[in-house]
Amino acid sequence: MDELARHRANQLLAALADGDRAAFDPLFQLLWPPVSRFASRALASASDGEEAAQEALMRLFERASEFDPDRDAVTWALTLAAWECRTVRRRRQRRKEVELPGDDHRAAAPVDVAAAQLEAAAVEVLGTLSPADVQVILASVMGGAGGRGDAAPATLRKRLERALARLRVAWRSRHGTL
Amino acid sequence: MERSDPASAARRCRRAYERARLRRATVQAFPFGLALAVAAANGGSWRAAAVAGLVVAALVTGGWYGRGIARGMRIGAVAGLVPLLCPMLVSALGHHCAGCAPAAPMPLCILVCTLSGAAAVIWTASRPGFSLRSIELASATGIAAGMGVVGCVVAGGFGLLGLATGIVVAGVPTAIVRAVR
Repeated sequence: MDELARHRANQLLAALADGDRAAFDPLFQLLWPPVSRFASRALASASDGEEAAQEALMRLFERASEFDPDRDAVTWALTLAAWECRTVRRRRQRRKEVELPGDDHRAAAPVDVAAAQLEAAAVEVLGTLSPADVQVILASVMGGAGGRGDAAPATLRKRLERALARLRVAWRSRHGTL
Repeated sequence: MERSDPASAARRCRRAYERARLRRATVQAFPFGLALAVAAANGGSWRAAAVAGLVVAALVTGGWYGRGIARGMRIGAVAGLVPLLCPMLVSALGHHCAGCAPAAPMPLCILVCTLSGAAAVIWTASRPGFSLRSIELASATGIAAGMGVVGCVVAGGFGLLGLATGIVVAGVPTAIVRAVR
C-alpha cells in the first residue's frame, strides 16, 4: 500500500471517528485487501484469514471513535490483525490437542507448510509484544509511516531497536534460537 | 460466526461501529443524566423530569450521530451545568425558590437563573471554532437551555422567564460582537 493510500485511510478513519458515515465504505474497501491478505498468509488459510481479518476490522471500527489522527490507520489495522491471528492460532492449537492425529493437511507441499509454520510462529511471537512494539515493527517492515507519529528518525530507530530486542527475547524464549 | 466475504464483513463491521458509538454516547451522557435526574428530583415536577428525559435522549442521540451536533452538545452540556446546578445550590442554602417572584422580598432564584443562563451562553459562544450559524452553536445552546429549564423550573414560571432573559440578554450582544469581528 502506497503513502497516498495510507494518507487517505487516515483521513477516512478520522472522518469516521467524527461520525461521517460516508467514510465507512471507502475505508473498508481500502483496509480489507491488505488486512485479509496479511491474515491469510499468517494463518496459511484463506478462510481463517478472512475470519481473522473480519474480527480485526470489527475491533478497529468499534474503536474508530478513539482514533488518533497522528497515528497510522493501516498499521493499527495490521496490529489488530496480528492479535487476531494469534487468537485463531491458539484456538487451532487447542482444537488440535483434542483431535485424533493423522488426518491433517497431507496434500500440502513441505516447503509451503514450513513457510506457513514459520510465518505463523512469527505472528504468534509478535502477538506477545505490546501493541506499540508491534506497530513499530510492522511499520518498519512495511515501510509505512505507522508508529512514527512526530518522532525524529533517531528516536524511531531507538524504538525499533528496543522492539526488535524484545522480539528476539520472546522468540528465543519460545523457540530457543535466533 | 457469519460468513466473512467482504460484503458480509462490511455489514458486520458497520453494525459493530454503530453499536460502539451508541455505547460510547450513552457512557458520555451518563454523568449529565445523573445531574439532570438529581435536579429533576429537586424540581419535584413531572415537567422537569420530562425535559430531563428529553435532554438525556438528545445527548445520547447526538453523541451517537456525531459530527457538529455531538461537538456542540458536549460544549452545551458542560455550559448547561451552571443553570442546572446553581438554583439547586441556592435551594440547598435554605432559600425557598418556590416563593420566588419579581415582587417577592428576595427573588434570589430568578436572579440566579438569569445570571447562570447568561453565563452558559457567553461561555458557549466564546468557544473557538463556533460560527454563529453553525450547527455546533445551535445544538450547544439547545442543550444548555434544556438543562437550564430542568434546573430553573424549581423557581416556577418566573425562574424560566429569568433563564430566557439571561440567554437573550447575553446571547444577542455576544452574537453582534462575533458578527462584527
